[in-house]
Amino acid sequence: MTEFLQQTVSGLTTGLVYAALALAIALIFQGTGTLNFAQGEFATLAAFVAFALSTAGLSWWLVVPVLVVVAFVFGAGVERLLVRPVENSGPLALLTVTAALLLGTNAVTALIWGTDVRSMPSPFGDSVFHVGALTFTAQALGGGALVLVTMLVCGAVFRFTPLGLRLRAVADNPDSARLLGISTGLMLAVGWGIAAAVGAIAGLVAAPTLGLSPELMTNALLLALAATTLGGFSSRLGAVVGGLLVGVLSNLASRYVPGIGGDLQLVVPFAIIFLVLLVRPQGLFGRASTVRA
Amino acid sequence: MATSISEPAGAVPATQAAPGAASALTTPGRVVHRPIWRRPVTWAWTALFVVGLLLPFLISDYDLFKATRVLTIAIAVAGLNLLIGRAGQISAGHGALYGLGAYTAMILVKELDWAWPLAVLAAVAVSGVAGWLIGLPALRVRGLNLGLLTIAIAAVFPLLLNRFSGLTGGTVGLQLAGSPITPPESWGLTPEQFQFLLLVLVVTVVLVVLRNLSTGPLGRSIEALRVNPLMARSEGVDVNRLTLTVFGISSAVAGLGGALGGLVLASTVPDSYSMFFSLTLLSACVVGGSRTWAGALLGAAFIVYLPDLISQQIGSTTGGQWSQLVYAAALLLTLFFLPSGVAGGIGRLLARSTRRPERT
Amino acid sequence: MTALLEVAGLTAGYGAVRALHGIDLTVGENEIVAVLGANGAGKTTLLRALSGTVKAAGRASLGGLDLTRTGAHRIARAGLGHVPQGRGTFTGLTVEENVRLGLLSRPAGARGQADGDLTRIYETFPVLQEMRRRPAGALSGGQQQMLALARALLARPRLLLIDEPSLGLAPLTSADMFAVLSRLREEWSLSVLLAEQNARASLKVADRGVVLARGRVVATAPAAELAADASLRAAYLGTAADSPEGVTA
Repeated sequence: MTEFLQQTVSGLTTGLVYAALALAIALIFQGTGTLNFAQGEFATLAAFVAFALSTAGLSWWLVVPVLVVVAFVFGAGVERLLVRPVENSGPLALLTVTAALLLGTNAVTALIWGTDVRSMPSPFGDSVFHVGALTFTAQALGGGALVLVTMLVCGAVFRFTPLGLRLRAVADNPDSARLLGISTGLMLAVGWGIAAAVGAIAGLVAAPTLGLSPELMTNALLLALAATTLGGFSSRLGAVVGGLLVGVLSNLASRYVPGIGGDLQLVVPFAIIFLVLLVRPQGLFGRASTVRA
Repeated sequence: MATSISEPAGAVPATQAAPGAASALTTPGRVVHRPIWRRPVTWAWTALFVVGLLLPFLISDYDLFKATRVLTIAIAVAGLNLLIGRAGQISAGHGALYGLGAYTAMILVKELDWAWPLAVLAAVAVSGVAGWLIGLPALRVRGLNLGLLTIAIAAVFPLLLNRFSGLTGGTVGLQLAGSPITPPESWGLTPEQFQFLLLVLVVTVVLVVLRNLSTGPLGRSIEALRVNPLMARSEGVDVNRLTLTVFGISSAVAGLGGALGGLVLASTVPDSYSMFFSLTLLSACVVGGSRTWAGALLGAAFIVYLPDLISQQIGSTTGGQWSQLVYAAALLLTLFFLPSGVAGGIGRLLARSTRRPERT
Repeated sequence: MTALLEVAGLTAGYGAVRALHGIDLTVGENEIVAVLGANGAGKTTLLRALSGTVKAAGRASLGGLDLTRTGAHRIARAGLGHVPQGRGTFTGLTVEENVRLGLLSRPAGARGQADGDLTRIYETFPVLQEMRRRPAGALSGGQQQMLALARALLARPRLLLIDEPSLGLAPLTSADMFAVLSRLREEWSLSVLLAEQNARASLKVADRGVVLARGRVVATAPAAELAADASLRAAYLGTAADSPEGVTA
């Protein structure tokens, strides 16, 4: 039973990373109407930037806000410069652009920092805590808390601020939003910025555990896509819940289902995508009508 | 070579319609009334075919080996063209289907001692069925689901290869002592010459079949599917079944390319079929021109020769990454400035320059 | 007096199909102008060309701003409100959030009166206050129309374009809607360009009427004059037979 709980807890900690990445994917889907294949690579790039900032001597207290700002500017810039030109060319062109972004970002990361796996020190130290029979590392607790706070702030921005209301209006009905004087172009760029910032936190939290390399988020992307599918692309809450579920499920499966372990954990998210699309394509929290063509 | 960079006979829409990726609304095959043997494109393709038959006797076996690889990749890209350019559906996982073809053929030849032509046919069937299965859940709701599933396939496929090492050889992959595709001794050809000639024939057959498919009655339904699925449905097209059929055919074609590619190389390793390979194929398809069959050849040449070229210039350690960066940049530039791809763009240019004198 | 909206030789269309062939039109300060015409006459295209959601050529200026060269959201910020056909509700947001989007869009000078305006809106449309926590998609057609109007009014436009407010509404709801429209000018000090197929009801509300047919202006006259002109009605606004809700209803 302790074993099971421990596995569940560690599933939840990794699940938070997937949840943050899934949230980023859902944000872009709701605004721009496309899957961003490059979301994982953006997060990896962010993790490297954080690593570089920290090795340059910046304290972690500063790295996090600087990273969020840099990622936001990067995401918004990508939308303005590279996504905007094909905004009206249909879903195929949009998706292809994000595939190009995946290839390009991955190449840039590898060219700058090389392909070797580096160990990145945890911003939260190496201490270990025991609660009853369960073990928590400082990295898991601190990382989990950071992701949680990020998601809460993001949720609050969307729910309670005028900016969030405008962002939701553009996602809901871009034509009407324009008639109310809302610049849809600006809001899409802001949406990409917020998504990149949320994803950056996911990268930062994932790197100390998984090891920093250009492949850092390659698998996480698949898990996050599964999470978003499970929760429903039209729901931000769904993406987060989906991420936690996927984290726990793949952790438990790799422990208790014979034959599923190590890399093959990835069969779990794949199976989730496959089954959800077959059984309930709009996901657990999604609205069927908002699935875009 | 320049005259060959155009569409095969009959497929004229790219030259007729307004620019733009989704622009070719005219029905293929309706515009040209000249008989097939009087069309310049027919002659261009015939010339290219003849050059293809002569090439093995003009260049070295090493160069031929590279050129053969271009052709095997071109087959997969042509399959992708059918899916993306004609049906308007995306696949970010054709690298996995190419790999599936390669592994199927290699396993059948290596473990079960099948004759290679049979192994190739079996690989085509396996890839086609796999594509059909992948397409199944994607069709419950239209939209981005095919993109979602195919990128998942692309990510999972190499892991599965590593996992089922009993069958696939794990990370080391499968190797044969030599390619089973060899000429009968009396022909006096080197294996490389024979393989290239074989691929020229196969590519020709594939392109002709795909072209006829996309200009025939099925092609009109596929066109309707891309332009307006709702209208296609109202005109009695079973949209789901058609998408599934197209995805199946496209996958089978990719498997054919992979089977031949694997057997010619006499080696398959999981790393060759990563997600990045899948996305590179996508890049080849779009950059070459997803609505032109010549684009498949151009795109394949682009992704086969570019890494070599870059390695020669920069050195091989970061050559792969620089190539990947160039694929990404080429993909973006094509989407922004040349939505019909390099072949489509050149084709339109040629059409404009040849049409004017005819009219005056 | 120079007019608030001045339109001359305006053309617009969709792709190769041209829907407007040189429209001339003015709307003065505090004036209500009804745009009348049968289905497909170009009423909706005219409104969309003015709000920048359809590309247009020719002259169209709102208090000096060239509408043909300005993006939709800039036009909206310059004081042009548009209640589109089909209402354009944000169905996934709550009623209150829809209303708040209107408040967010008002010019800086009008921020001070936001609370008062909101109270006034809830007095005019009490049902919106009752249902403010519900998703806007759950409202009936008439309620959504009111919500769309409320949202546009709260942005404090100088000129409000309203497209077919009675479309798809039951006769009684439709009558309510026109009753509200007739009070708009006094309560919100704005000019209105109202596109309607229901000529009789809209001419009661309007000062002037402009009749469109096949993308051209065929008549401009004071509302009372148009309402009395039977031959014009028969020629351009449809007869009782093909327009049951029309002029003779």
